[in-house]
Amino acid sequence: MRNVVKILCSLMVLSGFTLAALSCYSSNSASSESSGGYSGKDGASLVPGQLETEPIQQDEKQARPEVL
Amino acid sequence: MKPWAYNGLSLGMGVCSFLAGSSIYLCFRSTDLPMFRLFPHGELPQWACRLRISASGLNVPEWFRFSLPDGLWLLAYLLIIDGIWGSRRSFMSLLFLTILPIAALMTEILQWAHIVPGVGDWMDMACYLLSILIFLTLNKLFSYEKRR
Repeated sequence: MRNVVKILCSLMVLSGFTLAALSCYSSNSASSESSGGYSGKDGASLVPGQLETEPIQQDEKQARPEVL
Repeated sequence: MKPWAYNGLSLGMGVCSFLAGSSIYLCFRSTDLPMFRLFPHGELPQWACRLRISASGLNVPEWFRFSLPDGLWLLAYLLIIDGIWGSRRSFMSLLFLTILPIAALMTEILQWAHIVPGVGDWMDMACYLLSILIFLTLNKLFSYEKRR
C-alpha cells in the first residue's frame, strides 16, 4: 500500500516535470529563442504587452507605469 | 541521518532547486514560451512583471539563462523522487530516478544527431551531468542506508 502511494506520487512528479519540460521545449535553445525576438540586454521583449521593437526606457520611473 | 530527516531534506532541496530554475525562466526567458500561458488570461501578474523589469538590467551569460534552469529542474526532480522513496534503493525507485535523466541526455544526443528537432547544446548536457553529479554527491553525503 505504501509503495502504491509512492508510485503514484512519483508518477505525478514525473508527469509534472515532463509537462514543464515540454512547455519550455518549443524554443529551448539559445539560437532559436534569440532569433525569436528575445533580447536580454535591453530587455525589450521581457515585458508582456510591450512591442518587441520598443525598448524599455532608461528611466524606470517613467517606464514602469506604462508597463504595469 | 534519520530517514524522515533525509526525506525532508531531499524534498526541501528539491523544491528550492525547482524554484531557482523556475525563477530563471520567469526573469530571463521569452514570454513566447508555452509555460507563460499557464498564468491567468495568459498574462504575467504584476509581481512577475516587476521581477522581469528588475532582472532586465542584469547581463547574465547565455548558459545561465538557457542551460542552468534545465539542470536545476533535473536536480529538483532527482531530489524530490529521492525524498519520496528514501535512500533505500529498490527497483521502482531506481526506475523513477533514472528515467528522466536518461530522457534528458538522450534528447540532447538525438538533437545533436538531428533526429529530434532542436539544437544540441553541450552546455545543456554539461548542466544535466552536473545535476546528476551533485545529486549523487548529496546522496552519498546524507544517505542513512550505509550507516546501518
